[in-house]
Amino acid sequence: MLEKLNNLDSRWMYLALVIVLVIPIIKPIGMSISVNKDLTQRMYDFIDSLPPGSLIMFDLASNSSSDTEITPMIYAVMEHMYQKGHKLLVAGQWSSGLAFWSPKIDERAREYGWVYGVDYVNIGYKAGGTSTWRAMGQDFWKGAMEVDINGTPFSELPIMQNIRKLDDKTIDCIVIFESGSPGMETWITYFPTIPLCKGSVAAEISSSVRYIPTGQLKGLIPGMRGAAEYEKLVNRPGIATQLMDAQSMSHLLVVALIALGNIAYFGTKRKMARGR
Amino acid sequence: MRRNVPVILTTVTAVIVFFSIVLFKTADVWPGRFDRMQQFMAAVMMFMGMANMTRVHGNVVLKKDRNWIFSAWLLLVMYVYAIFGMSVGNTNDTYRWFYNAFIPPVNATMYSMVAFYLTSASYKAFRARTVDAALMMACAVWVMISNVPIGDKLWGSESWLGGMAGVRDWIVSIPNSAVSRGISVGSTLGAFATQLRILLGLERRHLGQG
Repeated sequence: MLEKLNNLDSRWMYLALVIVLVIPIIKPIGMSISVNKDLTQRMYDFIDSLPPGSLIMFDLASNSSSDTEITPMIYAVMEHMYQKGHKLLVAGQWSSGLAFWSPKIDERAREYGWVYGVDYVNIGYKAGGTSTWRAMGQDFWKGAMEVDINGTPFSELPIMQNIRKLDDKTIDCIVIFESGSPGMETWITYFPTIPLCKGSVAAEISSSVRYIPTGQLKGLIPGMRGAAEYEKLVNRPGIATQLMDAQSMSHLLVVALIALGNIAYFGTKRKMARGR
Repeated sequence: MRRNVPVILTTVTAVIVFFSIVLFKTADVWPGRFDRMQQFMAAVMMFMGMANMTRVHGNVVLKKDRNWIFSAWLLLVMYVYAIFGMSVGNTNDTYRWFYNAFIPPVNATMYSMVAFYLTSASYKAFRARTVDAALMMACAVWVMISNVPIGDKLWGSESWLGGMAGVRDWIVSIPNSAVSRGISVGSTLGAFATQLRILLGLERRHLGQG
């Protein structure tokens, strides 16, 4: 029995995972979510404290593989910006991130009645890495090649008339949605005076929280759980809240499997020792 | 010539940038110009990347090496999509549809499969063989449970020590941050040493020289 358990076929685990993921999605349990005061609440409070009409820049430093975690964060922060009347500048260190999320941002902006070029703008992907951002720090228009994602000249976009430099006088906050490198180090290293917030995939949380006590990060949305917390704060439950039950169950399954694996391991070991 | 010119260029550029920023506080003059040059070079590098892919995979196709069909497919897709994109522009709906219809689903599929591997690996590899392994396992289980609502149900965040989430926050912000910062300082010092070697012309491997 123990040996059978020790060599359990992976396919049974895959099946168990599918079951624990699908059932709560079909029939949600509706477990309550508490808000992380050190991370999510801080970010919410910071964005909330900005005066209406502040300019927030999104840096999409991720790609579609992080859709489930990042998309609810983007929507929740956009909802907050809508409630507060902030303006949005969309940029990205990852070309794949812009390609994937730009249509989704446009769709949500239409729902809010935001006018492109007035309430929000998307400058698209600009090649060149940190050099490009530094160039924008000296002259935003030249550094960004003077055109947005659709090739429209900045001179035709009213919102761009006030965006002449990438600095703390122009940008009130950068919110980076990140799942890898290049990411927030670009802002921490070259633009330390611009307030920075981060929406992070779960795998990146451990390397990000150290920037919270130092004030280099004003707040952090930690993974899908954080997105659900932000949805709760802006009072608009979305996909992250819906998926929390499934995530709870999958984490429980993994813990149960770890326990079962150890029981099988130590049981077999004991049996072998007795046999000797 | 081939050996010394790149080294001289690197050193001169580094010295100009260093003195402009550190001594003369004029980051926007010469360093700014170099940044603009690098932007141009980044675009040029894209073409060099394509040329290199063509050389490497072209050879595989010509020699009919193992799995040559995948190399041929890669070259076909790369050139067709690049030429199509350049001719219709990146705002074209069909151009965007190709990207959005292929890349996100493939990416999502690849990433989702990690969950299955992780589940199976947690069963097979997470064994408390030593004290270190047991400690790591305990931390991992704690963080995993406290990251989902069920953790709040088991030990609420309003109770003693901030509940499961409170202990998790301590693990993540104190021991984890200390180690994480230590690794960062170490790797930055390593990068600084490498940069110094490049600046002094001692490191030439990036130029294809030993």
